[in-house]
Amino acid sequence: MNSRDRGELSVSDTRQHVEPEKEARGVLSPELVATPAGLAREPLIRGYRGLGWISDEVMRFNERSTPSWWRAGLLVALFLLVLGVVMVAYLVTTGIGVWGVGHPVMWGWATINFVWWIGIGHAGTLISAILFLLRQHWRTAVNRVAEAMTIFAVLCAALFPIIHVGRVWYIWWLLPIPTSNAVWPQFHSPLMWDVFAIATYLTVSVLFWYLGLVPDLALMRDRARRPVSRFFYGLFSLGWTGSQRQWHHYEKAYLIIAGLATALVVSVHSIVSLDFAATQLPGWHSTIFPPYFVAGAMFSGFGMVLTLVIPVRSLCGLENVITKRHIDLICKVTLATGSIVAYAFVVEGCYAWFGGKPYERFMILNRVTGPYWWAFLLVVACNFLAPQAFWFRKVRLNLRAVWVLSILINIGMWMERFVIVVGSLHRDFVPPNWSYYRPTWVDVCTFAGSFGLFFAFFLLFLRYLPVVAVSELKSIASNCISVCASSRQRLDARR
Amino acid sequence: MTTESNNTNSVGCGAGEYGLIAEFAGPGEVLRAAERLRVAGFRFWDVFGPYPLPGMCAAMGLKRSPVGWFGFFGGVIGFIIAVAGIWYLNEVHYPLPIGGKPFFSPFSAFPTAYELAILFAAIATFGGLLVLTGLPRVRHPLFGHRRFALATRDRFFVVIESADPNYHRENTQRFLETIGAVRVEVVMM
Amino acid sequence: MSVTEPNYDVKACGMALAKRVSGILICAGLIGAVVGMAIDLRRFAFAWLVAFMFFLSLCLGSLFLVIVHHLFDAAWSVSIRRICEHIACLVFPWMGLAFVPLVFLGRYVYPWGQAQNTGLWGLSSAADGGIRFWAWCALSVLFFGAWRWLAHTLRRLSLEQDETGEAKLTCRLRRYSVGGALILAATITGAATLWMKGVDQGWVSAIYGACFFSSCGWFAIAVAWLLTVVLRRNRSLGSLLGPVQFQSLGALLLAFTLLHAYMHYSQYFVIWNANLPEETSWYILREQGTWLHTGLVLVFGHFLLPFLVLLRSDWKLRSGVALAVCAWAWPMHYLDLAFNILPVASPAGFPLGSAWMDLSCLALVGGCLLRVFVRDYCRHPAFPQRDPRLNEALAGWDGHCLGLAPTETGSVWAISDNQSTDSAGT
Repeated sequence: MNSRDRGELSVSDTRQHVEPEKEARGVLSPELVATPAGLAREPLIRGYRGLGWISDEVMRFNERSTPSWWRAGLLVALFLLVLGVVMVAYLVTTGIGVWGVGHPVMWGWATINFVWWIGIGHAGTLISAILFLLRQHWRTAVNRVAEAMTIFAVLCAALFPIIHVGRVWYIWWLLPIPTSNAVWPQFHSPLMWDVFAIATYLTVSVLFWYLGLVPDLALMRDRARRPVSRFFYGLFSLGWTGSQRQWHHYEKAYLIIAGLATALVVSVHSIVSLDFAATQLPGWHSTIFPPYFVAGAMFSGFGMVLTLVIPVRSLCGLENVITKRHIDLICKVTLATGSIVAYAFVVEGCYAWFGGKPYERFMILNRVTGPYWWAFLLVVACNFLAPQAFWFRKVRLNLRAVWVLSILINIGMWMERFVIVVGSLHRDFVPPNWSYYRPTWVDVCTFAGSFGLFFAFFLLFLRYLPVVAVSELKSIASNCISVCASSRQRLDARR
Repeated sequence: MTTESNNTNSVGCGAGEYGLIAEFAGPGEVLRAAERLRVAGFRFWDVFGPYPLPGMCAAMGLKRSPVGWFGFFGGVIGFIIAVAGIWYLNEVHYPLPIGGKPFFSPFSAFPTAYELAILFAAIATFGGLLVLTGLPRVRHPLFGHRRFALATRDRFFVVIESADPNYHRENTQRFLETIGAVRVEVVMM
Repeated sequence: MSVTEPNYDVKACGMALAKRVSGILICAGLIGAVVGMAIDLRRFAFAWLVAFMFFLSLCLGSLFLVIVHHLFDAAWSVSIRRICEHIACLVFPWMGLAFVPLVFLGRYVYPWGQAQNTGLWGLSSAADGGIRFWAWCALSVLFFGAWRWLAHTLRRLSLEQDETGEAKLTCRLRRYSVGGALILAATITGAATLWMKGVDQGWVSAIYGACFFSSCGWFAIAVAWLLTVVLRRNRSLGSLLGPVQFQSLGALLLAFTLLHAYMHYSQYFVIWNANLPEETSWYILREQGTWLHTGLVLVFGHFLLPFLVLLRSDWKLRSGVALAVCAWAWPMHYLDLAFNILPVASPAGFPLGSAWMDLSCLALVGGCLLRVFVRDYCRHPAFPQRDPRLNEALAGWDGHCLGLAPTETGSVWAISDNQSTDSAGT
């Protein structure tokens, strides 16, 4: 494999030892060693045949005739969506009582769903922004899917607090709009911060996504055969020409918005966590909640990315672009974020226990041995034990196993929010208030409806937009060659 | 447009002529060509390709993009608007005692102000990008060119506009060919 | 291809100065420490704790950098890894030695040594989880054992690779780092809780371990950056240090500046919102007198100023800026730790009158560590000489450059004509 860039760079020089006296005195003698076979970095693109080939490879799914699985999937998603709409209509016309919420568990499934969906919505920005800033080029193959996932997940998430307020027609009270009643929202409330955080997150995610899409939309415009698609792709590509003067500003803007999105993604889930942590309730009030929630969001988001990407890559024929190495890397990130979540979970428990406050101690005991012990067990099993399988390379490369594990992680993270929300609320400070919370069928169907919303949008995205960031992929594919060439020159010059 | 003669070599610019488009074989070739074109003193010209070429900014002599300043000031303005707004609403116009906290506190105003700063910064960056790149632009003379659609695919083009003071159809065409262009054609308006 | 370094020992002549500096530091520190001990033993105990935590955070932060390097399979950081390994290895026996006085002085500092707890809430047993002296000692020994094992294993294998150049060692290092990351997370949290937060409130703020971790990382990156700039000026690491290294270090420092601010803001904000007396007492103590101003200095000096300076990407490449930022990190980190530890000793405000005691302890510990570092640095190769990623570090790659599939590389440059014209709309 000497023709590989990395191999080529180093084969020519394999001087094996340095003079001992030089070494002892510490004089510099960097030598070039061929990268050993086991440590060679695996390719990010399989079967690369040039820049045009990347376009063909990615656009193949968009340009072929509509497959039947797509129609069937859309049908199911639309059915769920209609179900969700009916449920919301029932809720709005009847009242919050159709859900299982009631004293003392005033926040039930709706809040859990909200936190769960918004958590999923974080992986997209994480992959696209944070990994971009970390110069992890592998993100390029999956960032578009993840960003789309983000936007649709945030839409689903935003739905729940809106319908949870009960009288939806007063939802505009949350906005600081000057009206004749002169009543303003008060900004001490975490729910107000939520409004701004989620609105900003949705807007910036869409902007970031769209910014990445513009050059690819131009590509689709240039490839489009039908006038109607050329018109629409042309309209949304804003007349992008691929001029280097445009690219020059574009790259800078992309970098800045990536930085902003990184700062944003951390803040949004921190603010969501403050919905809980700003209170005085044991189990909610913990200073570690902001970073804990952020890690949890990334963890669940990566779980969802795996759940989506594994089918997408085979259904859309993207195996050459989204390789097993990508899955492998996503699994590793999932494992890492999962470990941070586990750390926070354990630390929270330790501090609650050793802190010696009776209410905190009771909360921890109740979490493990109380009526919701099964939820706690599920969290431990799905969230902390299941991802441990990712330590093994064999598991990471077995797509079926990874997919099943990713589903378990999704379930585990949902259960974790359940433990936090319901587990802390159902036994409050006054024992006569204690109760056992159960969801109703409306809760379940509304949640199913949010899946309908999510998948309807997601399937439309798959069909009509480039699933992979083509221009970025071209950029890294080609730049690598030139970087390799230039660094070879640099090394030659040094010699 | 008639023949101009105010410049020494600016002749032969036909009516309705947008410029010359030169196709290059690959990124390395176009990079070297850009270097030569900058040295030759062209002003209204550009390189087109499917992705941003590293080193092209230096080769074309482009300055640091000012788009960051849009973002910076957007963020500052967003932050100030949020803090001032919250102060006015919660301290002046409609004070509410909540949880024993001061009516206005920089701590509880911070999350909202932070979000608004990011919102404004992102929108300003995006807007700044549109301003600086002159987008959206629906019509462009190059869109009419037969092969230009390949610029988003895998081809690299250099376009020299006829508005350039150094532009001369034949001479520039010859110059482009000497610096490695594979194919040079005239683009009409 | 041998490198065109001059034959005289560049490293040694740069290091002579370092040795002289360390000698001065040790002498001055020793005098100050003895005087301090004679004047006020309780205050001296706190000063020693500040100095200990100051350099412990440096060692742990460097250990973190080494672990992260292995975990991420990074290439650029090969250049700075040996420096970080040396600093990390200072944790034992040297920081262990510095810990010994705390065992004796601890009764002035920690609740387990005091009849009456200084905290506003609960009894002395509740303030630090009822931890007793023996448990405290046992846990401390455990922490040092873990760090010793981790730091020295990572350095030993890395040095072994200098000899053999085996790729297997990289894989082993990676495996140790994986476990090491988990151990480090647990031990840093424990150390911060026991040794720092335990001064007045042991188990109150769950984020405290993460806060201390961000301080460790922040300071260690600043020191690593400082050392790279200095050593590049000394030309001893020169060819391995390029824009990628400085850019990355600067970006890392920026990231940790933000992380540190984020952690502390989270802690403050959650406590501020809930307004529970057992938690707010920690901050109320730190808002008395000049402590309030110390806190403000930290907000602006520890966060805002470095943040604004590091925001510019091109400034990170200027060695002047780097030196200024990294030098600035030292007093800020000291103030950070003082803000956490010292209000218990002097509740009235920042102890300006007795700060010389902190400084002498810092000088003493720092001087000793500098001497050890110079010795280690001169004794071993200045960078991992046969690291498999050394090529990439040398060439200034950012490490995660795309690899292309082996079989197709031949056709990369020649994008043939028939391929590109077909389906594009023309």
